[in-house]
Amino acid sequence: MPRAVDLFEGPIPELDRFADHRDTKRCLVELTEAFGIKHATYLSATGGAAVDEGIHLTTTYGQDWIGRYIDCGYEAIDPVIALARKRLLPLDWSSIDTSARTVRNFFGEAHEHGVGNHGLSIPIRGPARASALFSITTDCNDDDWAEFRREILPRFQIVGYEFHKAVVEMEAGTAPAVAELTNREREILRWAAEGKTSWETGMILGIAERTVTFHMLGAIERLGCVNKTHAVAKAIRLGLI
Amino acid sequence: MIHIVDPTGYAEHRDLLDQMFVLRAAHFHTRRNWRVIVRDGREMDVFDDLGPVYVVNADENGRVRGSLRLLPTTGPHMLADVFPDIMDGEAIVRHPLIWESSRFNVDTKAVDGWSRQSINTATGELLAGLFEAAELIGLRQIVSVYDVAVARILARAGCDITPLGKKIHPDGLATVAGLFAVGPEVTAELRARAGLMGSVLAKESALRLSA
Repeated sequence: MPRAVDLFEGPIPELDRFADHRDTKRCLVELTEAFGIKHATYLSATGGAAVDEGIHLTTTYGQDWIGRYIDCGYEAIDPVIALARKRLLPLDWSSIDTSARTVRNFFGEAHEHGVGNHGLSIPIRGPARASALFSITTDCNDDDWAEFRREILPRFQIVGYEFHKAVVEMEAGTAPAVAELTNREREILRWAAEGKTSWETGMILGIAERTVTFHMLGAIERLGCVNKTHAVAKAIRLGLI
Repeated sequence: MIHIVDPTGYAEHRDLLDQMFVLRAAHFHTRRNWRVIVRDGREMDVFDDLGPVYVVNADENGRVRGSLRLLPTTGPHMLADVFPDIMDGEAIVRHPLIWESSRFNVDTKAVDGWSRQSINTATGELLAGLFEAAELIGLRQIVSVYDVAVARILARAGCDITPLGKKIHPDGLATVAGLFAVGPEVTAELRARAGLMGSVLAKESALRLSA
């Protein structure tokens, strides 16, 4: 049974720095455990000249399914891959057209290999136009899935994007740049560290609560974090505030 | 009726999008005299090449009467890449749950013969569709850059706007940015002011978004 862990409050797996593929895999395993889901998969294509150039795949799927997928050339059939290349909006696998026999058989076989009966894929757009796809799958009934999906969709949009950034940095071989914060961001994080809400910080700084939230979200993202608690802790650790 | 069209729907909605680009040329080039590039009577820019999500208002006969364009701030977008001066030294904000709306237009010609109230309805419907879609996507905020005349229209329609950064004057046009609240209160306010009873999204768009 999936659990809608509150990413905006609680602790989450570290996904701001990956040394190698073991880290990316471990991160996905931790996410599936935290959310009580079956699988998580990250796939990116940086659009290099060769077909397999710049492709990164990290998944918790079992070796038998991965082997089967590759042997049968399922990337040519998998409708998620086809849609993800051009899509910007999240994709619930239950909305995929399964009228074609090849597609029905593909999902049937995936299910037999323990992929799960529900799936959600989130397209990711980076600054350099590199595109990626973050997918989760699980087994549950349709009502539980609808509720779970509504709750976790924004959280996995954040997780997917931060995961993508960390992978891009890992593959470029660059250590993640130490984020530079503007004075305003430092102020906002400092007041958050004092336990102030965005509304209170806005009152103190004489700016709108929404403006505080806007700059806070920007700072969270640049620090490679997924929530405010995480960002405050990291800013303190790095001596930024 | 509001259509939400992302790249997976471009082919299916080719006619709507073509009308949209023609209306954008009429609105931004002919009427407002912006420095935009018009080719074959259609206005397009580099951001249209990035596979944006279009929010299109069309009447029951499929005639387009307004549109806007959505892009995630994690990728290239106008505030970061065209108007960074607005931020006045503050960092560009990128976040997967903050998207940018641009090329907002409601064509008064398309609603020719309508009352002033109908023009407002076309605007209200477009914005109600935008914020309904934003809620379904799970967005926290929407950011947008526009000129001061548009700021008044947006506020009158019922948007909840906080000004962002400073006013700039590209091509002598007073241009500002705003942060828009997303949530059920905003959607309800937009609907109330436009006299809308419920969802304005085309069935297929609603399905695509909640999918």
